[in-house]
Amino acid sequence: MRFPMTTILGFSRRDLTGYLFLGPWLIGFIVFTLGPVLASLYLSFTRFDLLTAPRWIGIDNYVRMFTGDYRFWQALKVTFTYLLFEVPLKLAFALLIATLLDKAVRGGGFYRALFYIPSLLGGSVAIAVLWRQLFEGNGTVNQILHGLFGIQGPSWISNPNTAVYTLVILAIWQFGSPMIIFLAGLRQIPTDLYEAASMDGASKFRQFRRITLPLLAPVIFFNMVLQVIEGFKAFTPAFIISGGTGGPVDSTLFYTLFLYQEAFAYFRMGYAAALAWVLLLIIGGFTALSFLTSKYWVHYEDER
Amino acid sequence: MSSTTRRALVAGSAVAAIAAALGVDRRAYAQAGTRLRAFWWGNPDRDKRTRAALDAYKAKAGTDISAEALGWGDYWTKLGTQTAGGNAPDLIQMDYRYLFEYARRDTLLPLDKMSPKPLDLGTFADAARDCGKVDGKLYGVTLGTNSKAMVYDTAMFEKVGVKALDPNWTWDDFARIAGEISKIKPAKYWGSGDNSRWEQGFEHYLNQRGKWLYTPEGKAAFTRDDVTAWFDLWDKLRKSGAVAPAEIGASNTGAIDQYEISRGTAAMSFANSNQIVAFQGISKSKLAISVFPNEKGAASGHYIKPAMMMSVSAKSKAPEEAARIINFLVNEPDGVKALGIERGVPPSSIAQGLLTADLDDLGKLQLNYVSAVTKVAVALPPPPPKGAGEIEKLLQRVADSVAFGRASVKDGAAQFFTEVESILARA
Repeated sequence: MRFPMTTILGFSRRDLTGYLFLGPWLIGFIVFTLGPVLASLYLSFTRFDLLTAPRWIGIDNYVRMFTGDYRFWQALKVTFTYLLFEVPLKLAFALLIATLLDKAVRGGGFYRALFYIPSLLGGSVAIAVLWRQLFEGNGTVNQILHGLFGIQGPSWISNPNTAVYTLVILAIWQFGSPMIIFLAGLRQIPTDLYEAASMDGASKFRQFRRITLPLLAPVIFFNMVLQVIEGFKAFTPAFIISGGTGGPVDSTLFYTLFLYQEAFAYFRMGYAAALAWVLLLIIGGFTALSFLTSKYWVHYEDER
Repeated sequence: MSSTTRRALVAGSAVAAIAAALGVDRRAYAQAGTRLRAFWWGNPDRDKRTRAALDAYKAKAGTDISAEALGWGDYWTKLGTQTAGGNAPDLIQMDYRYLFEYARRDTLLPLDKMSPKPLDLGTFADAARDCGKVDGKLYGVTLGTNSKAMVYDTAMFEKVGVKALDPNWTWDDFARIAGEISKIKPAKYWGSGDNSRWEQGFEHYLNQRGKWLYTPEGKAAFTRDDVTAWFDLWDKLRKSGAVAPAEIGASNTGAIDQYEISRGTAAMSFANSNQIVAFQGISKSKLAISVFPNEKGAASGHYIKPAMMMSVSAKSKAPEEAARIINFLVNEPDGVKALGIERGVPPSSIAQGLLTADLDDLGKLQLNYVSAVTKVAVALPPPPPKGAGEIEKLLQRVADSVAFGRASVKDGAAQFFTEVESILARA
């Protein structure tokens, strides 16, 4: 052994110092993250109503979820509908604005900050309350529709056919963070490519399709994965707008909201823990799928 | 800034942060006496009154009470979590719906030994005292009694020629009056809110038919046909235009300011008699309360409900003091006057004597209503079983899907009934 004097329990003193500095974080991680995660895995195999001790019931929670609970499927349906519209539209919108801002417009920094503001506010309770007032029966949106076109619009948030789309719009409105990432990506594309393309007479649209999109693919991919994960975790808007019910008629019953109801409204902690684990598996599955298919459409510059 | 002062500043704020993180409260040092926690669900008016009453107690006995209030839905979430974590508040506002569940799990303290001192319940009528009993032991002390009531806009009623509403009014009268009010501002304002989605409304309908919602054993006490009849009643009213359409009904979250009468979309909403105080606080026009419409000659369906009880946590470190505070709220002038009649009509004869002298109009309205209903009241139904809260939400969903035309009355009723049985079997 090279450092017999300084080795304690197999750690060198240098390592120990490192762990010592890491300690506070590590303790926090074990106590507040890893511990609860493992506890929830255990609880997902129990029946637990908070007031009495958990009782082991094996895989019953999981069996019930897939065979005996239509609200589970409804929650999945709502969440996937939301993702299907929210992710592509938000990314398209973010890319559009980023492309416009990428041109050296005067006051570009100002507009960048301006467009980012909704992302800072959007997840808050206040904005969800505002959204409710915009899209209700006699809300602002309908007043504008009535004033401009004489159309009497429905109550968008209280109609099961339209409620989830008001939440999609709320999410798209928060396009700030993918926009910033797109902007950074756009700046990385060498300008000589565009110059060469214009020399050859390629139209702007063709340049966008043939140069911007392929070179931006890794950034699009990154944004997509991030947005899908965010989308699965969406909670606040649906909670506030539906008053915590996921209504009308379960049309805004996001998976997270369903989980919350099972846990904190009906005190089925065991079932809710099982739901959380299934959500984790779904998100993990989606991310894995994205990475597996990415090699067919994402090209990194250092690859040949 | 020199490095020394910066270091001092950093150290100082670190100490402050640690103190805050550990929950060190300077007042805890200043006040060596007992400190209790009180928790209730409420509304701004109730919160103000309750804090005033607790402050009055502090001024009298020197006991520091930290008070917290939430809305109905969030309240039970937080109480459940705190109870599970072993740090339930000392004073817990309890509802008849949850009293049995909490008491039978030994999370509440039996208060029998506290009476008559420090908690004097000799001033209560027997029925008002006994509704807080579970398996023969007292776990909750009622702060006020109420009954369901239809809240209505008197100006709108006068517009269609109804000066005084007949307490023997029928569902046909209801349909006629509501239909006429709906004609005043077509497609903007309706006679009544849609009540098909309100569990207590359905319960009332059953009570009028001599039935209950749940049996004492915690099973469903109604049939599928009862549900069909209930949905059908409101479906016809909706189709005739007398009650507000599905979109309006579905946006009522159950908070006072989300009711049709508060949002200015209908002239009648179905609620509880003590809530007139909160409704009037929002509404610009003069409101009044009435019994629910009925079939001719049937039972009134109204019962006198212990609206809000006070319970003491089984884990309380100062149970005697907690009982003394409850006594202050129900029997002593300063407490009684601060709470007023907002939680319903107080059960103790002392409190009633103290309050009747200087009641405002809303107070008189409520007191007269409850004493009139007492004469025709049906018996207090058995407590709702576990899972009742979920069934309350289920009714909203199914009634909404019938209202939106996504399910027929018959299919909706069948779905509701099947799911009720499965929820109760699982609970």
